[in-house]
Amino acid sequence: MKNSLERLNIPRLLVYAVLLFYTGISLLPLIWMTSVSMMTLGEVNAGLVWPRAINASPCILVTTDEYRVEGQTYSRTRITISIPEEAAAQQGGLAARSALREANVINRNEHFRIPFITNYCAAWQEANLGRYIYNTLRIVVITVAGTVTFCTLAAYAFARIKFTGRELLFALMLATLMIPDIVTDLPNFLIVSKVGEFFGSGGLGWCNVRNCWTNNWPALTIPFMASAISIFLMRQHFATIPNELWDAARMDGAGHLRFLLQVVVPLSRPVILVIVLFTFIGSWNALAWPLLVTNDDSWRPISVGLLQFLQTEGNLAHLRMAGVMITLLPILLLYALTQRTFIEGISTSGLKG
Amino acid sequence: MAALSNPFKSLKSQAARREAFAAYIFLSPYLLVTLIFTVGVFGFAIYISFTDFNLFTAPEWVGLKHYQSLFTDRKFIRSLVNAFYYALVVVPVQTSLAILLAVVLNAPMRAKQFFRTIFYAPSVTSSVVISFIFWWLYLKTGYINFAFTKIWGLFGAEWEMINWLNDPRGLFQLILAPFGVNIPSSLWYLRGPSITWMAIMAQNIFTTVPTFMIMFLAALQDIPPSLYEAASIDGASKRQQFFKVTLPMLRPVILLVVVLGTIGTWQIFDQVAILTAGGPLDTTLTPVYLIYTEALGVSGPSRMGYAASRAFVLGLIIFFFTFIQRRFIERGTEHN
Repeated sequence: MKNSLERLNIPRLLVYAVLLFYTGISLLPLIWMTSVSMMTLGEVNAGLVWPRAINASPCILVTTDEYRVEGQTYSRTRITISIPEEAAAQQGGLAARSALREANVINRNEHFRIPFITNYCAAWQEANLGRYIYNTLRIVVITVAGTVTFCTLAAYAFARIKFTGRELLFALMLATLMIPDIVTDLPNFLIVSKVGEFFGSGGLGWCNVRNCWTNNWPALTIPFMASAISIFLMRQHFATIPNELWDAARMDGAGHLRFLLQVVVPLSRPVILVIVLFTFIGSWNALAWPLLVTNDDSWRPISVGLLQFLQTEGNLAHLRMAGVMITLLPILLLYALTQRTFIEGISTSGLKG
Repeated sequence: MAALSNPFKSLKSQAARREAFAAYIFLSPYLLVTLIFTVGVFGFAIYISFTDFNLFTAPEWVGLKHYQSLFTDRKFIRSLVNAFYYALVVVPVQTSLAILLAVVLNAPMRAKQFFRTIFYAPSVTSSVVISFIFWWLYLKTGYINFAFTKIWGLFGAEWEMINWLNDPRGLFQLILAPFGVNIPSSLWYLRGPSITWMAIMAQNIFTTVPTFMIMFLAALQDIPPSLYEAASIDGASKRQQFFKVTLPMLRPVILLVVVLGTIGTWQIFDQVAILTAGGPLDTTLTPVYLIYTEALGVSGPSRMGYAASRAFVLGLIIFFFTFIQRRFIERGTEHN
């Protein structure tokens, strides 16, 4: 009796009250969004809090299409999205569009249909999300690979090789952290254009358009590969690796590159993972810079694509929220799977960075 | 002969040269990128700020013109006042909220991990996603007005529906209105942050608090328990322990969070670009948004030189506030 009374003391209750309150604040927007993303337009306009039913329809198709391009007939099996007429009518705001079919498909052989939430199919199709997610993944892979390679090499040099100018270069690197992005963003755009033209058809001719960089992967990835904060984090970690390991490796005839790849990198997996994760999230969420350097869908990433969709969809809240959900879920999933690494990353980069 | 006379020395210097060569090879990819896209761009930005440049014709040197027009530039001053209000509200609120949540989460309890995970979730979402959730919550027919109607209804009062994202009325204007004080629009800076601006502040606090909370949580776990034991032996109450032990120990992290928060708030752009485009009546116009629209020529010809000079001034202001905060909080530490 005494024990349970002790456990239920007032400060403890207060702690739980604060926690539950803030849990509500964190989750309510997400819950509301989930709910609206499954409603029909009618339900949204009626101001319902929760949809009457989860509005799913068999909208994911596996088909073999025959299509004509320049007089040639091709055949391809693929997954397409098509919303049945009655489902489109029921959802609202979709009817005119669901009738759209690719003009060059001459014969469609339908294998089977997979039911899914109608709004999600509609948003995926209307916003061309597949294209943008594909673009973003390409950008993320290139950025992460470049950042990790460049920064690991640089961090190793700063941490484990003695050379003239090391302290000065390291101080200069830290100084670049103080330059606010906004000072450099727009001039950076101009420089990137110039560099792109230098490699382009009017210059070295590395690609067949005038500008090799803008509206292409280099502009979206290369300027971010020199990440001073990543180098700093890795250097701090590399410096803690005992010198005896290096002496032993050198005895066995290993050079710096071998020691880095076979000893230092395996020992530094956690810090590298932190950098990979934060680079990933940064690329996935980037908005201002891609807005500047892309002007068509060939390399436009998800944030820009989503913003366009949201701005053109007017008041169709149910489709907007479905589009938002589709772009949000991969990040939330990634976060859920790696949250321990995340939290460690923020604690260390925040406190020691 | 000279080389033979001291073979060790030349061997050593040869090894040192080889080491240095390896180091620069390792550094070269990073140095190449940073020299062009950070150092080079920074220098280029300084140059542009002394020119008239519209992106299409060559930059034309105009000396200090853009810096001389600073004090008569109403739009830029307006954006600075808005940013100042923004930092003034957002930084203290988000810092104290983050400390509160961290202290609460640091208490011994079950499901700590669960709460920590949930709290941090809003921070991984992109500004586009968060902005559109809030766009929808802030609608005149949205849930925020709905919630206020219900709460006001409990007390028998009627809630006047607010168009959160398009309401230029200022905070002080609203507070003083019942007393018959009317602030004219020429004294806009006395009207205080507009309702729309405060709505965006709330959204920003919501998304940044979790990151800072995690930083405080890590710092709290580094405070040695012996300090609390000593304090409680000396008869310090929980409250005294918080103010005399916890807060002083958190000081370095508070400094960091305040500095990071200040830098972030002065550079706010995404939310404004997505939700308000600087309106209504320029009450959410921010320096970065102004710089972007002027540089890209959204309303009229592009003015790169103007934008670059404003960007430098903003950079200096941020640097100044960072410096002041550092002095202020470090002096506090010396006294203890």
